Amino acid sequence: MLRDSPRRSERSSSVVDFLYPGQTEPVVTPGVPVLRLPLRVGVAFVPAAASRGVLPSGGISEQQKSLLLGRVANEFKGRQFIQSIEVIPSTYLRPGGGFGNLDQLRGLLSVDIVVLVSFDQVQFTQENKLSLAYWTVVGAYLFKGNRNDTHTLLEAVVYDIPSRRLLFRAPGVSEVRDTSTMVEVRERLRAASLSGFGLATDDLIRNLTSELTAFQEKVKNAAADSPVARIERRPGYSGGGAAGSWFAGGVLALLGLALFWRRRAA
Amino acid sequence: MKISPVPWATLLVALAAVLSRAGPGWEDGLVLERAVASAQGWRFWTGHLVHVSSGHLGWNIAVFGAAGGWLEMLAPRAVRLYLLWAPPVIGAAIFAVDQEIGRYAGLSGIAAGLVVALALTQLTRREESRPLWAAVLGLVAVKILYETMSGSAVLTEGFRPVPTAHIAGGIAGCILFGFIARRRRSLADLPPVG
Repeated sequence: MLRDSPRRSERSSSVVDFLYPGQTEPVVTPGVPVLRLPLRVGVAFVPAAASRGVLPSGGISEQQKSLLLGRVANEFKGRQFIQSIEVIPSTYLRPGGGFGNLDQLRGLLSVDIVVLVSFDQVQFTQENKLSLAYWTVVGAYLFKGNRNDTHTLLEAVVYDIPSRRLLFRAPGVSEVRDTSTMVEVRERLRAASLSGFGLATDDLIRNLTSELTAFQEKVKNAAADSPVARIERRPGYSGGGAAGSWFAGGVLALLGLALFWRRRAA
Repeated sequence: MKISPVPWATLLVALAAVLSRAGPGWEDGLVLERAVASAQGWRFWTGHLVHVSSGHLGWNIAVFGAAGGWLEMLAPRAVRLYLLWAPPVIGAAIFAVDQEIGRYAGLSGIAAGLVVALALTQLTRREESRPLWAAVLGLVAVKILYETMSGSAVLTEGFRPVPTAHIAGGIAGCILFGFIARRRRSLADLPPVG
């Protein structure tokens, strides 16, 4: 019943395996991506490989994937330069589908930018000293003799489909530590798996937000002869008249000075 | 007829702009939208009251309130008429010049016109500081130039700045100044403010 070495289970998916199946070195396409605002974005989990290991598979269902991607999409929906964000079910992506599969998505769902989310989740469980109580049989129900660790990594890569260029990427990580009785191990690992994905999604959203801001700055500050991306605008894009802080501050300061000058002169 | 020197029209428009953010989804019914503008003509007025964020509203109201309030105390009738004719003229100019724009929101086109008209009016008065009012006009010119040169190259967080709105507003401000100058035989007769 007692084991010295931890039992391990791993589930993962890989963006490289999806985009460049059978290639040892991904091909980098030269050229400047043209981003047509407002952007039409799709977000999807890349197809997962079969899980490996001896533990019962916790995994993540399509419904749960959809909920996690929905949270990511909701976070970015309000931005004015984004027209729409579609959550793309995994059934739309074939393992090793590559850019050909993304081109199909582009035609089918009218998305130009795709956020591909891959994951790697490793779960360990190992008996601690309390597991000695498992010899009593009742102890397997009462004593938390198992230590369970769940490490989750989500990785989002943002691709411009027409130019096949990687725009930016962001990771999300989480670590869930837990103890359980022997009979609860399966249930607790499954819960930790879901909780790990949830926490990693929170981290992913934070990192995506900061990477998006950094990307905006890079686009803005790139030299004219080596642009990061070219920005074009679709007909129908929203625009506005904004005084802006520096202009409003300048006008108010000058009006204040004029008023002061007028009073002194009087 | 005696015209009230209290800038109630400016206050009313500013209040309407604040109220347009009070209800969720109100913007959709008020924003100036090319697709429905001809059938829903009120949007040529209400679109200018809609703002996409509190910051957008705050800075626009600050400039509109200060310049509009000041000028309305100097030339109440002309400013009140301006608040009626300028919004559709600026809106139509934006749609005519900038074919990419489908939706427009913001008070700053009208505010830019008021700033220009106020500065031109004050520049022609002997008792005012000419360098200060010239600087106000210079600031408007710098803003329009900056937006024209950089606006289309930036992945803006909120929305695309529309330099046409400020150019059209500036021209409307010149027309407003023309009205004010025509109505007054001598601009020096304008009442002092401050």
